[in-house]
Amino acid sequence: MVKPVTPQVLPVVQPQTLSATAPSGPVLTAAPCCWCRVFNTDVNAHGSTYVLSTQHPNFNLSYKLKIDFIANQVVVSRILGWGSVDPGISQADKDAVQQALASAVPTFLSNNYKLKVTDPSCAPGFKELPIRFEISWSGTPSIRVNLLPGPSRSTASGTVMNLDTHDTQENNFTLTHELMHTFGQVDEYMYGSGTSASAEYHRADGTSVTITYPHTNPNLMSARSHNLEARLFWFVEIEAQKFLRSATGLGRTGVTCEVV
Amino acid sequence: MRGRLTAIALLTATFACVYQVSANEEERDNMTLTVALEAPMTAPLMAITPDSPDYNPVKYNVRLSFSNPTSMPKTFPGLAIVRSTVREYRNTRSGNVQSFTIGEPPSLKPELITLAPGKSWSYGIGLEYPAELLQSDRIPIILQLCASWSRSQLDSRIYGDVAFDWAKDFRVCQQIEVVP
Repeated sequence: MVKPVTPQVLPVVQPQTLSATAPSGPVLTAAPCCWCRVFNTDVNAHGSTYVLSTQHPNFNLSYKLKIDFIANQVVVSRILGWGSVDPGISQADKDAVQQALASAVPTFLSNNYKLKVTDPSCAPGFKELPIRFEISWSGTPSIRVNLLPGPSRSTASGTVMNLDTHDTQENNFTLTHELMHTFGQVDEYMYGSGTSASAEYHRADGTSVTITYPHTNPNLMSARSHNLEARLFWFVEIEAQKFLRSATGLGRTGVTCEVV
Repeated sequence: MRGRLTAIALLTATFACVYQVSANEEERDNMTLTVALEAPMTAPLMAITPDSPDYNPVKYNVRLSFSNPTSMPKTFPGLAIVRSTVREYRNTRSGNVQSFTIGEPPSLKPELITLAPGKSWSYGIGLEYPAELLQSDRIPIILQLCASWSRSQLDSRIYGDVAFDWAKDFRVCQQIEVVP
């Protein structure tokens, strides 16, 4: 049996008049998502964007750039594929070149410099990401690798690397040197009977630095040395800044990038 | 040899005008290394065009070889020589010339090669794409490729105090027919 319920009379609440003045205390606004995303972009550039040499040619370049604010790294990567390989080259020698380019060379180039990304609208206002390199041999290659018996003269452009079986010598010096050509870096040694030459390296902030050679500070691009100058990585700050300022990046023109 | 034509130019025979050959027999023996240019007789244009899908620098390669025909071992700065060897392409029809001087990064220390009697050592210098010649003339075209080196290219800071037997100027040439 259901017991009847006596209805309650609710009190009438008078509407309040809100003040036109803002309440005191901190105002919470939607903060920009600063260091919380991963950006991937396909870079298509001309080498002259990065460095202009009085003797070394520039090429069209394509590679991938990942700016990963979550894993805290910048990754420069490309895919290689075999072109023609001299039939007299052993599988072991071919494997040695392939494995060195996939592992030892990118490892050597990685974690030497950082990309400092500054955004005044963020807190903190900057973040430093280690610059790393990754080379893959699977997928659609952007560079064809031809392999000749060593010793031979090795070369590289934006689409082709002509390597030889001796290029793994000296801790993969030649492989590393030639790979940097595929990212637009130029030779800093004299060709032929020349007496002087120079290269103008561009920075993301619009400035440039001119290096005249022969010079006395050997580096990866000037002699058989493994020294890595910061300017060899300035191409990363140029592309990262251009991308992060774009609508598909952070979309904020105040963002700056600098290799440190 | 895969159809290659090997042109051998004895330095003392071909370039006696470049430097004087001593009458002293012992010194003459010290000078004698044989330099040869091994190049394909013909090369399809697309096979030497780097941007072409048919580009094949392996099949159409050029090698520079050094042989020791003497009865004594010979030591020479082979890598320093080949890294700064200049390649010059001449259109035999027009006479136009295009040169390539791009080498490889120099070493910071002496690099000497010792050739036993009768032995050879070679280095691939590659067959370049002389665009100025090939884009301005009709194919087929006969190119004369010359590889030359001057001893002045040796870095005296590195090789000044190093003892070796041979470092002489040379210029060796070979003809290549570029076909469609």
